[in-house]
Amino acid sequence: MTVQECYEALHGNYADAKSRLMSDKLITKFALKFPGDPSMDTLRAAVANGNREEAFRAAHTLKGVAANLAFTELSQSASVLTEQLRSLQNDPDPALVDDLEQKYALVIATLKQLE
Amino acid sequence: MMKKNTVLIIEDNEINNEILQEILEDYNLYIAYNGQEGLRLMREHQSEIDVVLLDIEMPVMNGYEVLEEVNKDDQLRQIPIVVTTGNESTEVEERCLNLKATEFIKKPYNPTVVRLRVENLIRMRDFATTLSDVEIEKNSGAYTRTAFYHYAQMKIDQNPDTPFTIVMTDIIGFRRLHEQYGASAFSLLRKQVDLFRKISNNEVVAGNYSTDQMMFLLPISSPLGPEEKKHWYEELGRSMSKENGVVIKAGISERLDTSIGLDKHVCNVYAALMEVKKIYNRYTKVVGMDVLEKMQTEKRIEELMVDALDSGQMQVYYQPKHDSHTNALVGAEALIRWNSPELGFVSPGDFIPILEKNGFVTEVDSFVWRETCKNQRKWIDMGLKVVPISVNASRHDFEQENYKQNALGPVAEYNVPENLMNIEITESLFSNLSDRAFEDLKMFRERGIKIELDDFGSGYSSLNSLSQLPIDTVKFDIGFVRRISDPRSETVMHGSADIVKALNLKSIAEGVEDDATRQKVADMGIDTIQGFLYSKPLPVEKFEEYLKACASVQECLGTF
Repeated sequence: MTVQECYEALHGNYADAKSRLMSDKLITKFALKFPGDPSMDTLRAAVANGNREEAFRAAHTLKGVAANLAFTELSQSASVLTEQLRSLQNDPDPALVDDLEQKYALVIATLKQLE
Repeated sequence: MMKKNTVLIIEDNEINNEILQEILEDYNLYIAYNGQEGLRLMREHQSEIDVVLLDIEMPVMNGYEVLEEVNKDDQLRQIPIVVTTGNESTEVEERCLNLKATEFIKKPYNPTVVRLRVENLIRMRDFATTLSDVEIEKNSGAYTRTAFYHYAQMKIDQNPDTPFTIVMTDIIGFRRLHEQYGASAFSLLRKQVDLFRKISNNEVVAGNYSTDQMMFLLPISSPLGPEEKKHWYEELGRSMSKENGVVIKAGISERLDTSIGLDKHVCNVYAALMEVKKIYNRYTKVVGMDVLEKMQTEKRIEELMVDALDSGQMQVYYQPKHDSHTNALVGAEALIRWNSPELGFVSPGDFIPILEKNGFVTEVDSFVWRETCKNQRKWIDMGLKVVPISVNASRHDFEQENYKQNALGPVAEYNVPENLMNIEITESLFSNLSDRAFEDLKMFRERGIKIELDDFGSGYSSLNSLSQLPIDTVKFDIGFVRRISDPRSETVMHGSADIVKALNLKSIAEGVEDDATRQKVADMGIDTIQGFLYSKPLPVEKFEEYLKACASVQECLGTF
């Protein structure tokens, strides 16, 4: 699987990644770090504990990392959850968390094929 | 090789952090994964770090908290900070800008944008550093004296309705502290700046007056009450308390009249500070209303003086001089009088010193000289028995290149015999008198223009100098006559009069108001008397009548 095919499969934006990170080598280097990124686990734990502030921060970080890696669909999903949490007045909307989990699972599964 | 610039990256997420490292691989990098670590690195390497990239959402210490901490520190505050954000609401940006963040970079990072932002900031910082080297005192972090005047004036101009207070502080025994503690003694200066920032909500303009004297311009809505003064003084004391025995004193000027130049206010505050420094157990002194009023009058006089002279508000008066033995009229002194529609009658004692300070006195002196030449001509033409008239000259007159021409010009123009014009000078004029001015004086005497030494005995005189100066007449200061009833003063005056006579100089006594005094003065051998006994200073028409009257009677005593 090429890097480009991988990005198409995980609903990312290869052109964006390429324009910013310059080479497939670098894209791969950073993309493959993503499964080790703790943000999703932090988010899950925060949702389970009802820690709104931590949940917001984790969603926000996830959104940023995903954007930097041009995981467009994942970043957008994280962004929606981030905004839902920003005021710290609401618990995470389970539907939004679900959506994020699905997008996240797709990215992780697809990246396995890149290795 | 060119020096590599240094960037500090504060970002908790490893991937984001590494992407930034990749983008900025050409720079020296410091890396922090949370706010606390970032702040520590900033403090440790503050002189080295050119730009900081700061993430906002971080555990332990978030970006806002980092910005708040940085704002509290004068040195850290100088480092530009770029906040890395997502595409969120403008609220975040506003909050960061309020905390003095310099720039934003949005995720996802565009390497070109990141590099250009960083480069631009480094260029701006270099420029600002060059500027601030000139404007900021390194030791205090406050403005240099010149820059202080500039920025303080700007603050005043931008806030025309705000009352301002100036405080000048002085650390007592700073030199000793500096010897003992070295450069760390300068922290006393920075602490003061911090304190005044705090009490003024960051509105203070702070500057160095000298190494250990600081100036603060504070916008304060009401005059400082004694409680507030006590409060900030205690704050000042408390913030210094670690350094044992540090005493700070302050001069204060409240509710500045901003139409008066800042430099004048600073002079007043400085004077107040110097006064309080002399008093062991006092710490602050506020510039008094009397000083302010005097300053305002001074300013009014300066504003009005030119017009006053041009429009005839200033007029020449003449006070007769009489022979102490025969009572015959032998001369007069020309005096300037100013009747201002606005200020009323202004005493020469009030405005002449101001005119001497700003140099306008030369205009007044030359006006009096010319008027007197003109009047002498008129009186000669009327067939009156004219007498020599003395006109005051100041140091400023003699400093003019062409004083000789200026003086002789009107004399020739009105064809006045030169021995009808005399010049009165004070002894203080002779200290540092140029050779040229000395020659001018000798030339005047050779032409018959007599030189009178005014105010003899009022502080500058020395008997020794009498023998050296190119003068014809010594005019005893009015203080001699005032104290003449004191036998010791009388003895001094008598002795001085003897010396004057022995030197073949003529003598005049001023301020003689009764015949008993005239008698005493005459007995001392003083030739001439000026005073209310004969006449007060008279306007031109009155003096003209006086001349006529004295021509017809031998004794003028009591005529006017």
